[in-house]
Amino acid sequence: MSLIKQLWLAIILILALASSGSFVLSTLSSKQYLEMQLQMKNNDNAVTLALSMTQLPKDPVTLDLLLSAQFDSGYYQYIALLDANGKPLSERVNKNLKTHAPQWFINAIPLQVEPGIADIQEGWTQFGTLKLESNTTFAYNKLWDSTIQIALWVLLIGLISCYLGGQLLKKILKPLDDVVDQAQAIGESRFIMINVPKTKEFKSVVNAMNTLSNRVKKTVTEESARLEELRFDNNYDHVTGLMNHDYFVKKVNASISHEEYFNEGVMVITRILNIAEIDQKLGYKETNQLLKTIADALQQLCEQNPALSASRLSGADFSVFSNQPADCYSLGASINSVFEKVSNITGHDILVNFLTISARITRSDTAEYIINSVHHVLDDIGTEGSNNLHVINSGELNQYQDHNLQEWKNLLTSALDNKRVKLESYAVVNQVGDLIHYESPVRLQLASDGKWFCAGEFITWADKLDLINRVDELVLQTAVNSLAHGAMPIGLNISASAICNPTFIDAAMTTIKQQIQIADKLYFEVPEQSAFDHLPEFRKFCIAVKALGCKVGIEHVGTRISRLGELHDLGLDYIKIDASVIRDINKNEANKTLLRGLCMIAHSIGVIAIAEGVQNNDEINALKLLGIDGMTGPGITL
Amino acid sequence: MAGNTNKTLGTLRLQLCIAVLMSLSLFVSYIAAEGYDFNKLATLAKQKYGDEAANDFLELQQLTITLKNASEAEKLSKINNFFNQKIMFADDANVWGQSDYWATPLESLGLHAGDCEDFSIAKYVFLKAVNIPNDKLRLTYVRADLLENNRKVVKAHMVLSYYPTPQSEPLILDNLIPQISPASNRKDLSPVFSFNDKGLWVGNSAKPKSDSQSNLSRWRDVLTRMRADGIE
Repeated sequence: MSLIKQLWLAIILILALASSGSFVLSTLSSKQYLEMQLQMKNNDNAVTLALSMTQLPKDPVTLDLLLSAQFDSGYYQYIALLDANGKPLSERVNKNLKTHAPQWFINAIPLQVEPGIADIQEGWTQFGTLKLESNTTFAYNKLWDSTIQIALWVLLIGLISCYLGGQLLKKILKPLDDVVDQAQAIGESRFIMINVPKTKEFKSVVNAMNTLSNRVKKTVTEESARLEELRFDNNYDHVTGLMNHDYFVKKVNASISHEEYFNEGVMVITRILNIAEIDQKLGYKETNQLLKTIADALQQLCEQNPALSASRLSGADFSVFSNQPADCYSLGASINSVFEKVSNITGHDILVNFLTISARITRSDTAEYIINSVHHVLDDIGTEGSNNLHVINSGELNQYQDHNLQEWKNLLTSALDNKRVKLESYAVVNQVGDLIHYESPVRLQLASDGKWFCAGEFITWADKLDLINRVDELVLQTAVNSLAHGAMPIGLNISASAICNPTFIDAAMTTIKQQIQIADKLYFEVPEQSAFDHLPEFRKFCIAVKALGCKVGIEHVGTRISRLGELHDLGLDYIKIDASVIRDINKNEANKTLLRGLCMIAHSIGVIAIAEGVQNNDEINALKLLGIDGMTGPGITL
Repeated sequence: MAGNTNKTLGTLRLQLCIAVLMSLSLFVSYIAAEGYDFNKLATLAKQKYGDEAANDFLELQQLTITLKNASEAEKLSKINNFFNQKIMFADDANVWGQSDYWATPLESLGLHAGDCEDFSIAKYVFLKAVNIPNDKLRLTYVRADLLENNRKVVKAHMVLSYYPTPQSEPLILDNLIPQISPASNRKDLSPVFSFNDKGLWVGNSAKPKSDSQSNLSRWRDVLTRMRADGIE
């Protein structure tokens, strides 16, 4: 039973005791008062009548008359005149004794009043004794009425007190709700902080919990900042802050191998042809400054378009990679213009000569291959045609590129309407090889009986056509249905637009509530970038689905490690660490350190760490030693 | 009497319970002494009035013991004489500073002074103590014709009447004329009204039903005070 209910019951009990006690006492004191009054009346009336009779001649008629007069004019139950030996001389009894008080009441609270007794004398001799009892019916009436009245008042006051007590209790215990919420949140590894309530006891509890939350946050923030530094040292160029060659290659390869999301991309490489000359003229410092300016401009470009990432491949070579299909010409041109701008603002009598090559990348390519090919082309072109843009492989257009928008709309709508959808299953296992869940990317069959398309192939179009939410809804529906039919736990990728869409979240909640028993087998995961770009929405999403019992995780963690501290109060269940960190982990000491740190941070906020894109046993063995909790990828089978 | 005591204790316990429950007021509780507590009387007399008064009570105690098996006539005369000798007649106004004060035997004997009621009350109480039935005793208001300075005056007076049987003529125990005489011999007195403590103490209770001190009649008041002194 909740505290408020228990306290309320206690209040009711105390009130009931107090009011019934005061009720009984007031009735008893009324009874006592009435008894006293009646007793006095009996005594006084007996004495008065006896006094009168003593003074009068004792003939029977006079005495009888006197008795009658007293009896008839007053409230009496019984008056008797007894002779000296106790034999009745004259008696009056009131037989018409009626009271509206019920008999049980009279039995329960009898008025105990003794008759008034007084002696009558004839000269010195005793004539007799007068015995007199007052009529008690009016006393019973009065007692009964006042008892009823008091009972009603007590009841009324009791009810009002109960109501007021309840209100007061609610007000007093209101801070407790927040305290309990916080305690629960911390129990679920959401290290939230709340305002300190005024009540002294609650205050110390909340202070303690806030301190705990704050310490966790601080630890995570500090640790992730340290890791970020480490990551930067290992993977980034110190002069420009762009990715170095090795990391860039890993990153591109991770993107390409992520077949769910990668269909085709573009690689643009620009070489500054006269870097040696520039270095000679400007000096080391200013050359670095120039390179930094170029890098910043490229970085800015990348920030505007999340699909892009930039790298300094070598001293004079820069590269930009798009993991989404893009127009080789326009992307190449925008990169080219970055360099053109820089070459114009040098302010010295030397121009930056550069050459840009733009090439399309398909799933069958590797980063090394493309970079090598482009280098060959660059070497071939040499210094001719400086500041030009060259596009290679541009003729091979994607086979669906020629579908116009309307055609895509028809295909997608038909697939969605007819629910031509299925979920793939890629096992995610824990350290001992047991299943955590199946990562289940979506497949759509665009044409009936046709090929099943993976997300990477249609997601761009679905996004453009505003059909992405319908895809998400259908995927969730499919997952819930198969879980309801006994499927193993399923992990679903949720797009940024879905977590930002309250309508989708509402619909999702309704869908899950219909099969609430499977909620704990449903794992939602959001890409790192989407989670951090839309943190407030992601937070809301977490609270909503976690309330139902679903699990929430972040996938592709790797580039925003420094912000991990911001996740301490979300109550995340897991993070999936990006393949670019995992790739060749057995050979890369720096990444081992990074990963060890990531696992530590994750564990400190009660989150499990899962490695993505695990390819072989060497990696598996190395990962196990680093404290990773789960793995997924081509090298993992159940 | 034993049954009465149990009931008394029962009532007392209930009242104590109520007192605890309410935590409201102090209840004046009477520890009803069974019979006549001469030790208490003597102690109180010694405290308030000195050794002589205490000795008087011890003497009285002795008297009551010797009278236990005596004839009623002897009881009457011994008790009558004892108080007539020990107590000097005095006006209430002189003794108590108020016109009419009913003193308890402790007070009367302690001060060795009292007026007609005080004599009658003391005699009444101690005649009961030597087992004279209450029914045979009456405190009687009388109209007394007295000679003061050779002038006839009429005064309100009180005597104790003893009725050997309900119908018989009473014997009068008076402080004006110390000898006990039949009522017919006392032409100077004419009776007005008589009473004893019958009906005042409610039958099943050895103590007054009401604890309200303000509502006591004079008679009941003196009975209550006597009780506190140790006279049942």
